[in-house]
Amino acid sequence: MVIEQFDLPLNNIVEITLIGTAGGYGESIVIHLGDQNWAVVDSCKDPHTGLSLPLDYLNSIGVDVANQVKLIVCTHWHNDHIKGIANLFAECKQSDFCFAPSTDVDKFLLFVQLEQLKKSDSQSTTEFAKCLEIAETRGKPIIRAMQDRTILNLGDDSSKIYSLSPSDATLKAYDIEISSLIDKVSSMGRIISEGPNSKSVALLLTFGKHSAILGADLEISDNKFEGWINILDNSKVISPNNKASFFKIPHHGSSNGYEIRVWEELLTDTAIGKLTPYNKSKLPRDEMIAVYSNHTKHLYATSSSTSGPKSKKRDRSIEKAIKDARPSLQELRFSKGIIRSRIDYTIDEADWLVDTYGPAYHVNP
Amino acid sequence: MDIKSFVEIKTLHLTFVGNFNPAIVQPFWLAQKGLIRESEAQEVKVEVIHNEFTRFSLDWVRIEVRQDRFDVHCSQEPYFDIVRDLCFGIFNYLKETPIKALGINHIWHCDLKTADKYYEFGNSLSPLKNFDFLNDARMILLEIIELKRSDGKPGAYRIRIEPSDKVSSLFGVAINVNDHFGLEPNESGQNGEMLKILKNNFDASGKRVEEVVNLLLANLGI
Amino acid sequence: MTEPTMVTSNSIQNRRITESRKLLDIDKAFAFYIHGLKDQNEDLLKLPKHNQWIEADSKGKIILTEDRLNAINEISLPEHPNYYTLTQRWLGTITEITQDGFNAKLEDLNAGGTNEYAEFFSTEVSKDDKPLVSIGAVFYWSLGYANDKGSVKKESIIRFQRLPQWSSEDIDSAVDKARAQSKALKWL
Repeated sequence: MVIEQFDLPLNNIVEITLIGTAGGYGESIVIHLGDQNWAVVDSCKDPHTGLSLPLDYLNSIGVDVANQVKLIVCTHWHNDHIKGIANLFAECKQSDFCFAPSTDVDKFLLFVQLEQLKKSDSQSTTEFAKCLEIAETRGKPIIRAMQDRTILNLGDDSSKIYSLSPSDATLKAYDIEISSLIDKVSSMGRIISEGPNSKSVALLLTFGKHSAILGADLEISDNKFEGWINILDNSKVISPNNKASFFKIPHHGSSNGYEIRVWEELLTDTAIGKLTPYNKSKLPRDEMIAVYSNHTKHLYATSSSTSGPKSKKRDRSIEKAIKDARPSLQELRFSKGIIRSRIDYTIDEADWLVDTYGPAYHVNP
Repeated sequence: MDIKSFVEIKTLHLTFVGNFNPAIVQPFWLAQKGLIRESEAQEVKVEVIHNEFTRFSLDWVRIEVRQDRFDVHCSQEPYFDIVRDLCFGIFNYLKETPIKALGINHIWHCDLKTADKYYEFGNSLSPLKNFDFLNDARMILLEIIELKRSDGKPGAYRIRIEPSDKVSSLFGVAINVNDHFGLEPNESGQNGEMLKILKNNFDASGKRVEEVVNLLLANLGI
Repeated sequence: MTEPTMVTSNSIQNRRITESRKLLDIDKAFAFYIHGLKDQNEDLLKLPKHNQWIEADSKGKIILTEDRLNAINEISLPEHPNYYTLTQRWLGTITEITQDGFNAKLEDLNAGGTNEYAEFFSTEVSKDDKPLVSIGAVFYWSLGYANDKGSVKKESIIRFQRLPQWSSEDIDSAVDKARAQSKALKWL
């Protein structure tokens, strides 16, 4: 169903809402865990207004963000997952903050400070640094995400959130990477960190007899103690008897984030799969759409991945100058697509109800 | 009137007030620090280098340093951000330089195109009928100051309007916006305070000028 | 040559050198006076000890006197004759190095909003800026119409961002901040 007006879910309804921006501007997941307890995973911004989209969504449906948002998770510090998160955290005054630093936290904090020396505001660690300052001011502990960690527990019969990654092996490799980055502090230009995706925090949500897996940008790895294979083989919180009925497909549906065993061992046959395209890299590719469609009839995307190139509208003289000087100039278009999924978690046999907004659509009806 | 058809030339002047050593800021020093291109240092137009006064120009910027003032002038809009970076770089290397105040000055030279609009502009700003005891009164300068900055920072915001001879027609006005920043009472100016202000306010200052000019034109009904 | 006028700072200030609005050729303007000064009694040329004789550049000597320094202080030279009538500016970040140059993500500095992507060629980068080309490097790109002494031309300017190198004090300060933050932050 197409959403015309957003509303607040009832207390017995779990809602997992995926906000996508057609790629390049990020994604975010807003979660209602029941009884007006909310969590947010990652953040993205509207490039026109600068608003944090999850914050905007919560405000639009009347959530008391200062008191009802209990947890904010930053799955990793890629630009498309972190923009606006500091503003979100600042507004959600009762919220815990969760992310995965390297094992040597001091080194990680030093890395973040060194990144701030670059005197440019566009790097994603700036948002991170602001969140750390807010946490410091509030005196609230930061929750470190790692394999099989309970990061939110609302009570015995209530919803819970677990981090499934990063694994110990990933964190160890992260330590080494951070050390080498700090050594390479260079005079100009960026410290380029390799592959924050591998340190992504994948999450398991449990609510009643139901569960959902949010894959962030976690990829498959050659090392069986990292990535999805490690979760499949070693996670203690994943239960084969309680397969998830909802899956946020990792990394824009790319083949890097696909592991067949996830679908076969962790997800029900009727699981809903949601993804956010990344138009710049033309993700997901058609062949991956076909692969996912083989696993589920309920595949949703926040927008189409095939919007054609276009130029921004400008003064005619400038447009002509651009056409002459830089014909390759293309706009990375922004469009907000939302896939809202709701389920009555008090009913064991309940099914998900999925609604879409904007360019979001059911890929394989 | 669409502001784009009205504004012809935009210039930027950054003025730092403090204690400077004019002899230090030389083109080859800037190139050696990587703040300008080496080829620019070779082609620089130096007028004076002295321990009391230095002035030199690159293609896109003119720098004047006195012992109590550091002025940077640029009339080429593509280089405004580069001028900011240059100042940031200079004072980052000269960390010990005490800077007490910063002025980010934008001067927009605007063409009113016709005598009627030109006269109406001045008359609206300051009704000349109040001066009807003079023979053919004309306004040649108006200066308005926002005594307390609207953002609450120490300093002032000043708008100065006067005729301009830099535009295509005879009917030009120069709108000079001086965004002046001072130190907080507990600040010494020796801890990079003005650099932080430059970094945090440069973009906003430029955007505010556009708002100011738009509002002024709207209020004057032009 | 007529008897040179005794030079004082007052007399220089009283000359309205900028009335013609031509670029001032300092040597030419002052040559008469310098020559005149040299002919005067040496006593008149006594300079305070802190003043220095400086060769300003290789293109010509500028000999300074205290009077002339004051005069230069008072002279307001005309601004640059070059200006832009219409400009679109971007802040670029290199995302990929290609065979012919690089691809970059561009932020619109005029209007903000959505980003853009474009391809750039090595031939467009100045020789001095070439060492700055690397993934993640930041540059300014502008496209506009420039008025250069009366004629209008379309110009595309690419200029790489040049910010100061980190000093050891900067790094020490980062280390101190990180240490303080480590002590203050609590972790679960």
